[in-house]
Amino acid sequence: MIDTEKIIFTLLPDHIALVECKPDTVMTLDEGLLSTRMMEKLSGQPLPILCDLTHVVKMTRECRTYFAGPEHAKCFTRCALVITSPISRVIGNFFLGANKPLRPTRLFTNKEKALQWLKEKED
Amino acid sequence: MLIVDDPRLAQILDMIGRMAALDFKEELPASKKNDVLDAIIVGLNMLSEELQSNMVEKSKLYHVNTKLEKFALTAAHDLKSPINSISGITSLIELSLKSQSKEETLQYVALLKSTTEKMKELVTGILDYSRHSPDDIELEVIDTNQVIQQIVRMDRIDLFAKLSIPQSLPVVQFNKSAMMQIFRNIFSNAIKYCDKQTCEITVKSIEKKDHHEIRIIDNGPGIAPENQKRIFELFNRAGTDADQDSQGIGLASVKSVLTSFNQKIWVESTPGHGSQFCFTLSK
Repeated sequence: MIDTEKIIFTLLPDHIALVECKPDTVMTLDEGLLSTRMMEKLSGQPLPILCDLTHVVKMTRECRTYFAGPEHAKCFTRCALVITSPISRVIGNFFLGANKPLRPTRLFTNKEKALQWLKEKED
Repeated sequence: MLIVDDPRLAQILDMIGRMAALDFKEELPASKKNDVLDAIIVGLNMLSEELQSNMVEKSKLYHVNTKLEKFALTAAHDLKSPINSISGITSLIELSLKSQSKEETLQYVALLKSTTEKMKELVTGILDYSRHSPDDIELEVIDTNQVIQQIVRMDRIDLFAKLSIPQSLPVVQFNKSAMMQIFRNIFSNAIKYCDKQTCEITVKSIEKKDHHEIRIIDNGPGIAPENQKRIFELFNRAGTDADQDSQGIGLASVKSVLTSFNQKIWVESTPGHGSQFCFTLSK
């Protein structure tokens, strides 16, 4: 597990990276760059990501663009975004609609279903 | 459930109004409630930021498009003129061959040669101007004095002008061929437009905080204030007699080269008292 100021990165037993944002997190480009570095540190190879956006209150345009771009795409195979709060829901939908990430990315309101999708895809 | 008198609702409505008027500057503050209204606020803020960025991009594209349209129109217009001449000259050659006037034919052939030469220059100028993209720039350490000496030797500037360099010029990080293009164009303009018996060119350098300011001073006729910005525009001819031979590409290329290095160029001039072409070179 890697615990940073705003985000916790954990490698789950089935080789899925769990990314959890802490309460009232504002995601900027710095957090985007940090995420790529931490993901590389976590496993050294691209992994499926389970990213819990529930506590994110803002994601800047630069950060969204970075997360959807080629640099970040190197560190994951697919991404399940968990959106259980109204703000995370709007951020998740906006990200998929406006930024169009390069790797398969889906929104979930249920963590178990998200994990299931990541494992299904993995098989 | 939404509360109609929640002050955030009024803020949201005002924001929608501003966005409708294409005003995307303001960002609404979200409360810590993380409720539907906060979600709408965050969504509007992101939408506003995205639209603002799209508008900036659109405006840049519009600007580039307008420049391209002007470039294509003027290039086509300028190429049409020598083509028309060539067409006319070939008809004259045809006539002179029918009347078996060898002397006339030779005259027209010479004219044809000079017109095609002009056309070649024009096409080369357009290519030089277009080719200069920041992607193909290679930086190297350049001694400005050496570059000038090389131009003087190659172009025999000493035969046409009295060149004076009272001080040592700086050594900078630049591209050699780009620097040669800059000095060559400004020197050749000074010679071409000179209205005095002896063309005098002085090159000076002024050291500023983060750059060197290079000044090329000539004793030519000077440039009217209304033409001082226009002379750097592509295909512009400032309106003097010497301009009839000008393609209006040289100074535009110089400006394009310097701009691609994030440097500036301008002219200081009083009609009748020569001109000073000034540009910056980063330290």
